[in-house]
Amino acid sequence: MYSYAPLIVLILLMGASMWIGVVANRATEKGGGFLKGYFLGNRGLGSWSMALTATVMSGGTFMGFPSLVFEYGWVVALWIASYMVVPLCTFGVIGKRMGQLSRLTGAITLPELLRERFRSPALGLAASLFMIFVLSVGLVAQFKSGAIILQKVLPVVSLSAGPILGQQPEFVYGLIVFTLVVAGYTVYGGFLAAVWTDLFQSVLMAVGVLILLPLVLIKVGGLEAGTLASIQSAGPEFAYAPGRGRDFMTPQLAFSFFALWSIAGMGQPATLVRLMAFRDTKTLRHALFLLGVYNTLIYLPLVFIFVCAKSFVPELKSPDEAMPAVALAVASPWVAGIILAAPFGAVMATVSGYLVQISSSIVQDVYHRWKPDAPEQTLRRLSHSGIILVAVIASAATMKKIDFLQAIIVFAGGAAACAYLVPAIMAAFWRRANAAGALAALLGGSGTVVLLYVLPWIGVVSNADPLMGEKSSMYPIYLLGMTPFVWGMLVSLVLGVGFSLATPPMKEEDVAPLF
Amino acid sequence: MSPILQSSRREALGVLAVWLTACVWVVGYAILNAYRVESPPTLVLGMPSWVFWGIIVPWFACLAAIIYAAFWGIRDEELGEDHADEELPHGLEDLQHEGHA
Repeated sequence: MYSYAPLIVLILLMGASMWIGVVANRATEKGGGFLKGYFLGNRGLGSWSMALTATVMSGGTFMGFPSLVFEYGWVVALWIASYMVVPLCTFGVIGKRMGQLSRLTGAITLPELLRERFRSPALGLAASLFMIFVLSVGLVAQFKSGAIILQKVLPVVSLSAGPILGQQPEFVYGLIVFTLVVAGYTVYGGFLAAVWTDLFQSVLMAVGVLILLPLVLIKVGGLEAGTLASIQSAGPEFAYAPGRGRDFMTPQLAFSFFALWSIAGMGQPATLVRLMAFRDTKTLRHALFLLGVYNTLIYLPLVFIFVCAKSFVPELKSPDEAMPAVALAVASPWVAGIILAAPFGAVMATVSGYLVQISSSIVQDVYHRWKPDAPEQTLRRLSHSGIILVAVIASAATMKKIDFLQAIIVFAGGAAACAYLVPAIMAAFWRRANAAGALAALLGGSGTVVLLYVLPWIGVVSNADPLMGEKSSMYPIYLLGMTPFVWGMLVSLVLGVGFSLATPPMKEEDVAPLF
Repeated sequence: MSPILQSSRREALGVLAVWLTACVWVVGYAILNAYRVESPPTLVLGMPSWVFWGIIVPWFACLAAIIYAAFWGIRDEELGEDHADEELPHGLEDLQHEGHA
């Protein structure tokens, strides 16, 4: 029987997000100039906002990750293990220097920081254009995820009609509602709205997981009983590497994913821009502590929950149904609604953050550079219309059939990290680094990832299942068994150092004020 | 060299040391112990022993390192005056005029 509870919870969540947009708008208007407030929250992010929004958490975290545990077993704890060092990597490596450099250079966006640090308009433009490209690709996949979740909770009977542009009507209605809500609160509240909705959904996720854990453990009679029952149901491979039914986690992939989660997280544009927006170093230290505790409370319990769930939830048609299936099996529809609202909130927050960053690249890094004397009113109008335009285009692109959402999300995240992390580290710590090195690192790292993903996708090399990693409909090239991210980072590092050393250093008067 | 750069470099090296230790511990322990299927498995606190010793223990060791870094390891610094404004180009010229070089 259809339950309205999850739908009502999602409507409440969307209402709360709109309200957050209004509050964020008021906070943004209180600060200095429009651009710094709208795109950077007046550099006033506090510990909680930094801790719970600066790392890579999207809908995938709370839909995809549990489904992997349910499918492959305890080995997924190895897949996610490097979240133990994510807080240190995110805040302890370049956090303070990014905060300092962005203030010294007056940069509001990441491309602007690179441009000012290396005194290179070409680097700034390349960084902006690649950001617009890679975030737009990721945005399409995130829009699709949001619409799919809404589609699942919409009442099918009352809305059923003929297909609209080849899609089910529930999907189209879901997409329209999702686009209106996210674009609406993002336009109104800018960067702060994106960050605060992200914070809100992160708390919601923690509440959901901490409700689910005792319910599941009570149902199976404790973790030991749950592990043994799941092994009985799925076989002994469920407790070991490389995973049940497939070489999900080979030793090379174990290393690749340890590097991926901890290092790629540092290089995400969304993370780097938050490192330009925190209030002071005390905020950074407290955020480090909070994120360490939060990751421990979220990721380990999720593994326990979904290992145990294998013993009482039957095989699913789609592994992505694991979270809703478990929630509905042990909790009331209302609690299940809260648990389902968490990934939806995560998708909304991710989309909102992407929209702000794409808009900031278009307005601040391209238009404002072209028209330095543009009045604030024009920049304000352009920022708002940029967000609306990008949201509409991404939403329209979502109407096309996309089969490999998770692969696109991983591709976009990996490519972005390989583009920006090495230039950011060079900018922070290496006086000898120059624009040629940073540009080579950006193009070489991202180009490597793009190549290793795109060649099988366009059919230049075989897209046959390599019988390792996650089962998907699309596979990248795993050179020597490792993910494209590892190769992208390596190429980025070698080119960044090599080109910097092979070309003349920057003028001392340009570098000295920053070191 | 500015004090913030000095402390940032030192802290980044500390993070690198923790990262390398954790990576060797987690991946190394898994390679040695996680790929041999035992039936029935050896459990510690309800989980396979390789998960407990290879993931849970280093996880809490890293949490201890995080707590140390957050409350004692990372030094508080002044991040400097914010040069962002609505005029372009930003900061560097102002800095040079102010004699930061």
